[in-house]
Amino acid sequence: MSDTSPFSLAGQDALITGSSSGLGFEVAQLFARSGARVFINGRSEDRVRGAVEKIASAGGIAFPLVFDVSDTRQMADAFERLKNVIGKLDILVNNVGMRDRRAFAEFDAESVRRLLDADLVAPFLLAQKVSELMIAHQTRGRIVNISSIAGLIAQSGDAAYTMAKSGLNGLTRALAAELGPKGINVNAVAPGFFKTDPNRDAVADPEVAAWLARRTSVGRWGEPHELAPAVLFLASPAASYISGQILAVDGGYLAHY
Amino acid sequence: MSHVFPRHSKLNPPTAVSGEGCYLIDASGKRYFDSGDAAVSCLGHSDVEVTKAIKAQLDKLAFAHTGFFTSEPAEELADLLVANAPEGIERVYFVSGGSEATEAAIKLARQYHVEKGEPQRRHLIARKQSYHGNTIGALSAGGNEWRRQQFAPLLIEVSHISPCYEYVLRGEAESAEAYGLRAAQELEDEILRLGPDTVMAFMAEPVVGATLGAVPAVEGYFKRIREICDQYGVLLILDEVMCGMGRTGYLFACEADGVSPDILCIAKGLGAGYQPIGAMLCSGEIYDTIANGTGFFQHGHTYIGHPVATAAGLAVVRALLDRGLMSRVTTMGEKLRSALVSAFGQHPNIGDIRGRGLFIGLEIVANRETKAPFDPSLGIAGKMKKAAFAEGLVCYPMSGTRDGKNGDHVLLAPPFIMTEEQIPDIVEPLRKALSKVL
Ligand SMILES: Cc1ncc(COP(=O)(O)O)c(C=O)c1O
Repeated sequence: MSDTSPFSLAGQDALITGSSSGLGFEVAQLFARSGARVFINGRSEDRVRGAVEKIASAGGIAFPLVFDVSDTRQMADAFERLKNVIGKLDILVNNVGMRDRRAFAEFDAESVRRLLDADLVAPFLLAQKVSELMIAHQTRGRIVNISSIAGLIAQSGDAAYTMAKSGLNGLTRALAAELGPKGINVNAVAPGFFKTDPNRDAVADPEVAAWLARRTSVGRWGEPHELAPAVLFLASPAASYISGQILAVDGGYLAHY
Repeated sequence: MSHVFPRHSKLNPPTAVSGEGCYLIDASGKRYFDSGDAAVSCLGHSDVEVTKAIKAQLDKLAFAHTGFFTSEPAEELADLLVANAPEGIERVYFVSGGSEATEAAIKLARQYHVEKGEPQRRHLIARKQSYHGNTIGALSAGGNEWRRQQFAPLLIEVSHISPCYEYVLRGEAESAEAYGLRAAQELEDEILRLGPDTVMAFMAEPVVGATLGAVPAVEGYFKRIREICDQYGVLLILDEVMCGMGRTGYLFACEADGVSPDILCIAKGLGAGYQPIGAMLCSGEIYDTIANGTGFFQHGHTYIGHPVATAAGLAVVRALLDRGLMSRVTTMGEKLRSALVSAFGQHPNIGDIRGRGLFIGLEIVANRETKAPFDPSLGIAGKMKKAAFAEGLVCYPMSGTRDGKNGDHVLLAPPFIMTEEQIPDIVEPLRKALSKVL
């Protein structure tokens, strides 16, 4: 992609949380291919190292940033390191999401709080740190939150996650309003049904496939590489006049009945 | 009028005022792609992590003499280098540049044998067409005739065998393997000629840089060299001042050759231009011999183990390892090389495109068929350097490729952070320079 393409991230620096594998890694890879320098985050040093290595060997530029998003102390240290490595940041993708599909009645306070910490408090705090840095450098910044269709509609047996993702959508709009005047656009993507590792049982189930064939407009599961382009779009110059939006990437699931 | 004693009194160089990624910018605002003035800038010219590490060290401690103190960055950098060094390497002696590293290596080799009870070992064998530095010992070891000529009466006695230079020296009917063994045989022959128990060390660059233009040895050559050294108790000194620290896609270039030296010299990429630093690494066996003998390597300079320089080196080596840059060098090296091959592979005056990783040489010839070089009086390399520079490319052309007098090449050693989009910043100025000069 040439530097003049509205989808180019040339010269931009991006942090993608939870990017050592899965959809986060897909986003990091696509960002790197589009010219961004990417910070790879995860809790496992080995996995982060492996992801950095893969991006670097494909000709991209990647830096490791190992920390647990739920650990405020680790987050602060990592942020210091990020400032030491690059000093600025143009894009934050809040991708880490924890899910707990227990029945409502089975939750205890501890596990609800743990989930909210990872899915809601962490993106809140990271957005705070990152926007401060963006404002200090007068960066035309972008924050993209990875939400879920569960932030827009609901099913049984997913209460905590649904609550968190609804909250994340609210945070997206609130930050769009508050940070917009400071040059930062904030949006979210809401993935539907993707062939990711945590979904492997459902992916293997022909009944789910048959159900998706009926329930989505495109009639199938989403492939892992089909989410990242939407994130790239919202992070790129092409989306300069878009803020506060929740873009569903769900094969038409929400629009279809 | 300037009071700086310049490299060349006839040259009127522009003033470099800033650096940005792979580019250098002069006082007039002109930008130059830095494809390896001398293979120094591996992280580009504006690495925030390295500059911050230097500033942080300066705020803590600028200098403490190694006769009294060690320092945190020196200890950490030595740990990191040894953890990633070839087998057997256990100690690191920090200096301020490449020549200091090779000079120290020669003296350490001598002292090792003396302390081991073999004071008759005094001969050093090196290779023609190699460069090991400009101080008297290092220059003696180097085999570049032009650099040595006027200083010859001052130089110490060193034998020079042929380099492993496949493009020119392999016989037409000879396999690469057979050629490698034949080239290595020169070492054994020279050891036997000098008297096996009088030779202290053999010194070589795993990939010959400045004087040959990025020439790796053929497979098997260094394995055979290692065997010969072991057989006769001769130390193997590898000079990776230019080819080490990731330049070839390996932190230590000799990894690709599958050998471990007894002494290893690094510099250039270790400081990446952010600080002047070099290092001589040695085996546990050598260190222990000294430690259990006099305990004192009779060497040293004021600035060895400098805290700020080692802090820079530490940040650089961490960056090389943490950012997956070795893999990147391999990939980008292949891309750059294939772009060079498609641009110049059929050029009537480019005889060979070779190298390893982001360390690539193009040999310029008068005739591709016969491989005949240009007449040295034409000064092709010098003209190439000037023409490429005018086009905004900093690279390293040299003459004397064949024998110190004849032959020309262009050496390319761009930063490891260069992108595919920047390949034309190298290829196009080269194309224009070639058409202007030839
Ligand atoms: C292989 C090799 N050894 C030693 C040196 C000398 O290093 P310095 O110029 O830092 O003294 C060089 C410099 O080009 C070199 O390429």
